[in-house]
Amino acid sequence: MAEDQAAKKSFDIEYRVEMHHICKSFEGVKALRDMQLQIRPGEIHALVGENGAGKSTLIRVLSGVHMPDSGEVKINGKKVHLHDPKDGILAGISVIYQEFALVQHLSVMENILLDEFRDRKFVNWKEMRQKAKEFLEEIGFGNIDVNARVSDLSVAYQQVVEMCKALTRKASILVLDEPTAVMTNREVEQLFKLLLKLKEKGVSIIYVSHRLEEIFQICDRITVLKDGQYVTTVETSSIDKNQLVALMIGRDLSSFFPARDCEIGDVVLTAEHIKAGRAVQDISFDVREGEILGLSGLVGAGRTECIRAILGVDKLEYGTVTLHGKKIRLGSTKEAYEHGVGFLPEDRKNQGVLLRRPIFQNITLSCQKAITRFGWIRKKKEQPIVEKYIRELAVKLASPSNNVESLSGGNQQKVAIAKMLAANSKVLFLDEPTRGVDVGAKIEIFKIINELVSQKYAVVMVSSEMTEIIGMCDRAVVIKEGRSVGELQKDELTELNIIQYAMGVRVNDTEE
Amino acid sequence: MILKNREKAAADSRSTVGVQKMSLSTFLIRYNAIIILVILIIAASGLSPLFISKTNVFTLLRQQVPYLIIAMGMLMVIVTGGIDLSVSSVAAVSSIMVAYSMTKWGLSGGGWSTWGAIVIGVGVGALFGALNGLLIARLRMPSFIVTLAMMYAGEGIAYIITKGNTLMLNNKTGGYADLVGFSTATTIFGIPVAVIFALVVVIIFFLVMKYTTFGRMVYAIGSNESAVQLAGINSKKHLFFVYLLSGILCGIAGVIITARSGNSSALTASVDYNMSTIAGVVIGGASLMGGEGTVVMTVIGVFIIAVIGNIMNLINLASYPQMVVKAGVIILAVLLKSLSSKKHG
Repeated sequence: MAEDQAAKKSFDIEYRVEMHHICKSFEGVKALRDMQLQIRPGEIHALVGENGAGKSTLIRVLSGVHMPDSGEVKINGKKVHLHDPKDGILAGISVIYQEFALVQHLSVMENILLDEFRDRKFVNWKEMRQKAKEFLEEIGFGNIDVNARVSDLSVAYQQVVEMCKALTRKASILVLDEPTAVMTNREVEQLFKLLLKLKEKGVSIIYVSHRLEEIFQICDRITVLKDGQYVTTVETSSIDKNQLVALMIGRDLSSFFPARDCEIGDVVLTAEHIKAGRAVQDISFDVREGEILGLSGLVGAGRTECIRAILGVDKLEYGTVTLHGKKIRLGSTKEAYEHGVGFLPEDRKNQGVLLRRPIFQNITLSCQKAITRFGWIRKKKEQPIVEKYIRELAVKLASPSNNVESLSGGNQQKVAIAKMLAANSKVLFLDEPTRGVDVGAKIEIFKIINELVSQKYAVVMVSSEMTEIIGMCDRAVVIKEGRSVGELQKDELTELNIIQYAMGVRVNDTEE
Repeated sequence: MILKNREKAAADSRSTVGVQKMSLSTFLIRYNAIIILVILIIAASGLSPLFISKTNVFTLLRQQVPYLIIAMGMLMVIVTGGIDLSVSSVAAVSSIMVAYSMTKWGLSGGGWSTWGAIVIGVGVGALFGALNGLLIARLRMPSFIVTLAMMYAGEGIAYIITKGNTLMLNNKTGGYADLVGFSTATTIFGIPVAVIFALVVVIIFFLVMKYTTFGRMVYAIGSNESAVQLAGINSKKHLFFVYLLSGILCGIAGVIITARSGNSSALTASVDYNMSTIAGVVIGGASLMGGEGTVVMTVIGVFIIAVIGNIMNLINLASYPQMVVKAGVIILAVLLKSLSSKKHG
């Protein structure tokens, strides 16, 4: 077949993909600096790094979603300029994201041959079925029924269909983003078989994963990224897990985090054996008065879901929550606020603030009872609250009656924090409190959090940035795949310790 | 250096002014309905001297009473991001139940029995509203579908109860005098009592939407319901009350419809209360996506539709061309708004 020949021919060249000196910034924030990547024909190449190391951005640049600010991309030795994902597909690059781009209610055959349907006016169903079957057989999955609806397939088979679709596009470079995140072990084995087959055919595979076991099992080489920069590329056989982890971390912690001096009191809230849905299996932690407890772990480890279950946003299937010595079960955030438990959601724009409502209305959103009599809002009571929080949190604004969307990200986040504090919450759950705000605002938010714990608030903070956990928290619980796998005291809080727990290199000694 | 600072200061002051004062074009775009209404009134006065006569103005106002009352409920529903298509049918059933209870259940003696009939009419509206609210707020069904179904159900029930006939109130009973006599003959400072009543309803809703927690939550829910929920607010409860209130207002409108004419039939369900009030609310600047819309501008919107109809009746334009003109005005009003929102990105 045509792509076979193309693939074989390009075995001669040294590199299928070459990226040199790639730089990319988003609104002044440098996501990639002088990045490089070299992929050989017919190899499985792992891309590893912490959260925010630049893996996703690099893939987006390679696939044409983002244009790099500078640097060059070579495919099969030829320099290319990819302006959008279509260019990427034409150049032979197919990216398979965690959320598949399949049409769920169409059949396997229709999904595999989606492009042909676009190019034809009339459909010969018999021929199409035959063609789809051939594609599946070729990669060793002839057992998948081409007439089955995609939504009825297992996640692994959906992935196979997705890859099959990529092959119809004559993809010679396949990018898999955390392909095994939602798979069972058996499904992973099937996927690996397929990957090896594709590799034999000369397809280059870029494999992004947090699971070190898998990387060592299947990948030929590994490229390590850190803070948007290239660290190194190594042969998998020349390195072990601990050495790899060491390559991924080791950043200098500057005096970025303001100092804090406060007394840690009694336990305020305990969560034990929390289970909710697939994402949260068994998570336990407690938080004390005047303490910041960090919930650390990789993106998707189940931290946010755990908080949501504790607060009653999602259903808590199993486990107990104890607040001030009393067992409670919260049915909604309304009940949480009534118990003095506040919540700062991770998605500021969609969950944290009402962008198109005035600032003052956002601040008093959660404390309506305090500012109303018989349901009527009393300006006299509302105004002091609004002024107090604008002053204390130093929200920079033109007028409190402007909409929140007129503020910068950092100030929007301050409004969200003000809203939570105005409701008199003493136990605060902060989910990614500094996501999407600039460095200056970050420091300001850290100062606010420090001020709060010194006033005997108890804070549980979820953060994907390890430096933040290390710099801010008195203690951290590491979560891996829905389970709390380790607890680290202040003096043990290092990137190495966190990442060893988070990636499963080290298991908690106390666990059976 | 000094120059730079001065430039910066100038830029700062400019931006604050821009925030506090509205530019003329923003005003024109945001409140275009007011201008459209003024132009229509001037044009109408020019086209027919009858337009500004006292009789015509009062007729126009009296006609608009049920529309205004229903529009208050529609505004709230639309601000939450929903829609209520069932208003005509609900008003029809309420109107019929008032007439039915007075003719068939003997609530025609006047005094307390009249109040009984009114309570039944409003109660029926509340029942429909509660059912809408339950399905939409509690069971999370789309408002369009739920109220569409309720529109059919209400119309069907209206025909079932009346068997397709018109229920005439006996004009010799005390109930007739209480209801029809009072509403058609009574004036306060020369203004028909029904118009005063509508004005009171509008003022109450103006205050509720602006100065109560409930009103604020209605806007907040329309702006982003999940954020409201995560902020510790029972948004479902508020949403339920929005539909309940819309039903109650339709019930009140139903009572007024019967009181105005002294009879009631299922044909009320085919009156364009739903489409006219939706048009009025939207012309007044509300967004069907929710979060926007005010009571005052809704009143303006309702009267734009009303004045168009009225002037064309006065100049003897047939009702079919009237529809086309109405369509033109609706498109114009909403076009100005969508052009302006595009400019803002």
